[in-house]
Amino acid sequence: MKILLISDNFTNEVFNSCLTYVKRELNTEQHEFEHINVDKEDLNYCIGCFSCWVKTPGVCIFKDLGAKIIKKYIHSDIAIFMTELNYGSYSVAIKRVLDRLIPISCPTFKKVNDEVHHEARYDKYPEFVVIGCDEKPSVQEINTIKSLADANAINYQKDGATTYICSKESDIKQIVDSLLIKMAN
Amino acid sequence: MKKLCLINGSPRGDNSCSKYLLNFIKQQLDESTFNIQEINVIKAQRKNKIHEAYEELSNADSILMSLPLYVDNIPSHLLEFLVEYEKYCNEIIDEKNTKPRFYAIINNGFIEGTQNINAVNVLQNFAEKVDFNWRFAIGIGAGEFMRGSADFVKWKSRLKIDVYNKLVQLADDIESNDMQCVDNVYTNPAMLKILFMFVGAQHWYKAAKKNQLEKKQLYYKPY
Repeated sequence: MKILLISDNFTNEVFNSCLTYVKRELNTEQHEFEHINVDKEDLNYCIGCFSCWVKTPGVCIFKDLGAKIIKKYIHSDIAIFMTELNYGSYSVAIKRVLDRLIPISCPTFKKVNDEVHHEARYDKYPEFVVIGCDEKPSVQEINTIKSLADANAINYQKDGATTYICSKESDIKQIVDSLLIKMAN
Repeated sequence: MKKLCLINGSPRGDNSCSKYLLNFIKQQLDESTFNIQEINVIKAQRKNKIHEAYEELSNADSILMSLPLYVDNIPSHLLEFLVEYEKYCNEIIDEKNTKPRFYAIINNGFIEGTQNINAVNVLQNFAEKVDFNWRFAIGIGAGEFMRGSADFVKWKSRLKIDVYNKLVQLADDIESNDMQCVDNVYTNPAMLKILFMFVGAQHWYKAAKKNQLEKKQLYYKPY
């Protein structure tokens, strides 16, 4: 199984330590593992130009880390976004990555659960997993990130997301155990 | 005179549906009763004028943010603007006793206005963090259609009347001092989904043709 871990450049020591644990447990001989640490300065934000839909289909105009991630994402089986949470949303860096993934869909439409969404460009997409890191998330923030990740997964051609909340170091072992069971199935 | 801060949160700046909807709200207001300041977030970030923008926000009586939906959420440059504003709030000594009234208009490229719900929730969570008085948001579907058809489909047509009424409701709330809680509202042009999907596809095919691309090339798999 090809695992792509895309994480924040954590400044919080607890989450940095959690990230180290995740990398150690997932980077085994059983799986092909790749980790990309993202800082917001590493990639441009999506400017909504739609070039990736109507000028150079599937290809972003910015030739930076964002463009490289698209290729790695589409060739992975499971994509894990490990991110700090802001207001039940992602970090700025991870949000940049997600916005820059729109070339993986086509501009035209299809219906999913009676809602309009974009058509797939590729035959296969990775599982969409989020590990949201926040020391004291409110109930509303937890509900927001879970609902948001599900919506993102649908727009990126899956049925839904698997979302975990990591608030302290002791949470991460349980999260990784759950992930390993998910991957084994 | 009440201070109203209008925030354009589109990466496309003035050439956007977000700006079009802000202009609509402005037209509904009695401008003689407001001191209106406009902030174009992308321009403020590019010209390094964020501090001035944050001062405007801090001094506002009411704030209206208009933005497009980007991947079920607010655009990343706007998220950065909000995160940095929260830090700014934590650094300054707040001498104001009143919380600004906070409104949002979010438009998306699908037909269902309800698809804006996660972005609305993110903004509501932000408002709680920075102690803004959350009034309500309008989530609008088919944003680009609303703007693109401005010259030939009137606001009070059957197609757009519900969106029109909700925007007028928001403008009225800005003008009033009403403190009663209002639910977030979701609306869209009264169009069959199947028709929206067809018209939308034709729009993209036409855009591709301008770039000498055929229909099938829109589905190209570079990776």
